[in-house]
Amino acid sequence: MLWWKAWMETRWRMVFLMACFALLWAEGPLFGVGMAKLREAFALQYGLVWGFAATMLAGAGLNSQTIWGTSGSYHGSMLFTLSLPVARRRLFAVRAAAGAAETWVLIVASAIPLVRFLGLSWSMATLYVAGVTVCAMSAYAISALFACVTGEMWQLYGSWGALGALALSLRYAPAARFNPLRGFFVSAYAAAAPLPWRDAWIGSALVAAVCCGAAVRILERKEY
Amino acid sequence: MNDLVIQTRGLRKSYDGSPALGGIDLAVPRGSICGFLGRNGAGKTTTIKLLLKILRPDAGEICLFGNLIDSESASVAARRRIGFVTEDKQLYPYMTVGQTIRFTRSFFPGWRADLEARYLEIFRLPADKPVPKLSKGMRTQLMLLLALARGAELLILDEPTDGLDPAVTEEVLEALAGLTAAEGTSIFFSSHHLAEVEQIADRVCLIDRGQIVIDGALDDLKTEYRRILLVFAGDAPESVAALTGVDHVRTRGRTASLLAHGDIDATLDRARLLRPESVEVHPVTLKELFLEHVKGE
Repeated sequence: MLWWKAWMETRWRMVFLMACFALLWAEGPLFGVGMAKLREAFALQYGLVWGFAATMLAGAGLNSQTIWGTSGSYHGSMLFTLSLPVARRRLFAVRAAAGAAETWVLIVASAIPLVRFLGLSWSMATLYVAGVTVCAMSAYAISALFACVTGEMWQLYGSWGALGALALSLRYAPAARFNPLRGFFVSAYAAAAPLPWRDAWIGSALVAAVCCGAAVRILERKEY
Repeated sequence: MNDLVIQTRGLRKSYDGSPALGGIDLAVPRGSICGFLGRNGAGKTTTIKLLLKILRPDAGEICLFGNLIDSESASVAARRRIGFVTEDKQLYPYMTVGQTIRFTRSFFPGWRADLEARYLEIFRLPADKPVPKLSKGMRTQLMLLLALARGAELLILDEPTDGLDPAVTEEVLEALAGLTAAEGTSIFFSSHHLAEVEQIADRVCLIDRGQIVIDGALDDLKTEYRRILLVFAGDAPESVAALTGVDHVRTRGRTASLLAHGDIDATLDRARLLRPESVEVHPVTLKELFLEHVKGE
């Protein structure tokens, strides 16, 4: 039932994020944007919305249970959750895994029309979706870490701030090679020469591992 | 040891250097109903959170059901046997009553469907009503249902009747007393309502400024404590405060009111040496005991 609870907490965010992707596709008809411009815009916009989606769907199962009636950065139902016979590590694992699965579903579902529109080959499309998924996990893990220490709104502000800092660091080589954000943008794949995404994947995996490890430690020691 | 469902030794907790609990020793026997009394900020909720490992103690030990709670796994095992009602009665705002019950039921293999149906009927809780649409009283009832129906051996209730009307309060108190009588469930509940505590508790634990000031069986306390009223010819002498066996003294003009416990006859003999004009001995109520101990310092 913890999985179901996680779904109940995030289902409206999923709907909202799907609406965001629908809005991207509405740009053409609504604003008369041409195909070439749209192709260029999608390369950037999709990356941004995927990053946004990952941070929105992340949570640590306690602070991020709900935004309603929150006081002192957490909702009173957190005490009820903590009184259940469930270890905090499991609360975190289920909530994080459920959100990660939703993020993956959202990425795949939204990528299908994109790869068709861009005319990517199946192998490139698979590589692209896999790369985005791995890199989205770093944004997800950053947001999950913030969810362990702050309320829901600051979770978003904090993780967007962290992603902004990562975006700024893209300018500085050679660390930029490992920047997880590189994996979000289709141009990195389209201009593949040779496998520029591999380092970004390694960077993303490192960020995700460090953030998740820190989140679990914080959650296990935190007092409410 | 095994006859105690809750036992703490030297339990200490402070927040940012301010002591909240100053080394308390609690002992709640199995099958008892223990009222946990104290003013706001006395340390009741802190104690309850420590028992459930929502907070970590600075020092001291907690044993639940005879097992030392020194790890997450020990706490999880103990929480399988505990029902809990939180102070603010907040539940998940995105669930209905029925969904909340189904969610909670999934964690407790010994869930009592008969008790669930019974309390749904008594409390008249509509299963399809969203939790945010419930009044505070109904939220309290739902939390009580969740605590009672899980087949717990120990109920830890933080202000369980807060927000309930008198009729439902009576039903809840009867349900709690009945549960202990029928199932042997132990209950540890904090309350500001002394009449409720007197109605169902067989033990009382009074906490003040992070210290346990009274702990014992309610009947014993009522037998042990007496109010002694001394009326003197002139102003009450200051030496009355030094009488052995007297917990608290209030003097007003010629009258001294003593709260005494232990050997009352011996205390009376000592009081008579002060040559009062009259001496009266009265039984004390729980309210008097409470007020004397929390206001007496």
